[in-house]
Amino acid sequence: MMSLLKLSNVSKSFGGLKAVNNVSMEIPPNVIVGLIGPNGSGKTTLVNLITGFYRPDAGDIFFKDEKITGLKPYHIANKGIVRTFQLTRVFKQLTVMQNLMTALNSHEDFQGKVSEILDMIGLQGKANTVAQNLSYGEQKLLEIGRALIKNPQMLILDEPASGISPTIVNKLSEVIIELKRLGKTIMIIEHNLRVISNVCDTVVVLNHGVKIAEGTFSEISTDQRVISAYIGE
Amino acid sequence: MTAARHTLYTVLSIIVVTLILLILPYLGISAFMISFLLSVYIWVTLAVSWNILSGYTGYFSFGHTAFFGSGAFASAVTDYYFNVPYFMTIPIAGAVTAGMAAGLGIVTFRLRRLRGQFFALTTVVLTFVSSIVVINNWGDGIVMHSVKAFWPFISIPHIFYTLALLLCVASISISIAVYRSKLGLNFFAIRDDEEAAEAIGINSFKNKMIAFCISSMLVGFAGAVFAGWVKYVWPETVFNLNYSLFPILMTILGGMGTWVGPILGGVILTTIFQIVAGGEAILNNIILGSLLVVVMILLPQGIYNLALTGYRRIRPLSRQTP
Repeated sequence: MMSLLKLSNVSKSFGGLKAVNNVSMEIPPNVIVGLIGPNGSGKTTLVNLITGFYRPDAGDIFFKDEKITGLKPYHIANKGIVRTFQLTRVFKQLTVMQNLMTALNSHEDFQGKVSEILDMIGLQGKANTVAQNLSYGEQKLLEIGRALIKNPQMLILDEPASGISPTIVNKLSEVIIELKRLGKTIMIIEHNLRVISNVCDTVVVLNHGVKIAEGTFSEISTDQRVISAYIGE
Repeated sequence: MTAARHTLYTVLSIIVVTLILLILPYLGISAFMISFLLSVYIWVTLAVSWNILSGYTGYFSFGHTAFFGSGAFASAVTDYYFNVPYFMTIPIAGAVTAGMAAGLGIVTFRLRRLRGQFFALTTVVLTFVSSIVVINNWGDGIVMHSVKAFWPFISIPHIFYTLALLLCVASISISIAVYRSKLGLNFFAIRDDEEAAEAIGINSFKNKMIAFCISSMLVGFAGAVFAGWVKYVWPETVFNLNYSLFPILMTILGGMGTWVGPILGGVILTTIFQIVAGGEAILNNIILGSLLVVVMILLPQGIYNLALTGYRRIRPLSRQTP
């Protein structure tokens, strides 16, 4: 099977700390992959490496068999990998509609696309609300909507469910499953294991920057290394 | 109102106001009024251009003095030493200052870790470096060739009045066009969160370069118009730090990041300076200092935004969707 995203022996250190240590993985198209691990296990660093915010010290990253190691973030975004951030980063002084439009390349047919995305994330009535007046959960949805309007092949969500109400968590799970149906590939970093078990096809577990397990949720939840990483020896 | 009609109304109002201001000198207004309006146009140009970079992208610049002085000297040097006709020196001045901005931008905008404050600092450094270069070479100033009046009714003050007005209108038009375009959205996205902007595919380096070059080019034009108007270009007049500080104050007073703000602030402050201080430099500086403090404390969002908030409050709710 051809992989959409492929990491081969990727490493990144900060001073003496090996944040990501020799990680390899392959993600086939149209799946939902969960990326889990204890705090400080290198999940967000890995996302930063994939999306070009950091440059790996060693190893290579391929997207659709094309090497994307060391490309700038905007370049990778335009190739089809769009991410969201752990703490939401919407454009606070712009309206919901303007936020969505920033991700489009031109003004052509933006209205159709914008209303489609607004429907999907459930913010139809708030197109002209300034983003800083939205609730935190709505901002998270807006950030996902802003990523989606670019129509990326792969979407990386960094802790989409943290700090938001259970209703919005459900809405979010619906959106993610709907996206898979539309043919997207999604990587989710999440501490909320209920979300992970509900939506993910496979799960990758990191600990101290090393990949310690990979498999379906039921497989990894019985894996001894995973249990000891989370609970301790 | 649809976007197309909105644009049409904007264009029409700009044309009408410009035409009225263009014929104003021929309706017998005083020479003082002409020179006062001319200074309003130049200050508004400086404020509007500062806003295009700093208001829209959030990168604070203290470099207007460098570009204003360099623009004035680029015009004077090409006029005096190379006998370039004055009107040709204006685009040359713009090209010189845009080139300076591009040179500085390539260095500072590439360095990912050195954002806002570092950029502000380099613009201060540029001001000192460029003024020292000019003082070392042309420290005694340059007297430019006289611009010839075209025909009996267009006197020299009228020529410069017209030039300054056209430059001002062009700056405002560019500022509005950027504000309403995708380019403007890119700038605002960079201002609100540069990394998030990159993450959705906005090339922040390219966009910052565009903003910086447009802004500096307009300042260079303004410097050249000023040089032709005063004719005697002296480093201490054109490399005055006020050319960096006043546009900032005008823009913040009017409303930073909006296109109306710098126009409003520019007109208001130039008028206040004229009335209160009569153009007296020391008084101007005292007023500037006090105003800066008062505006920052009482009115950080600017007059325009304040008025907008007030208007939205009194406007019936049913009409709130634009």
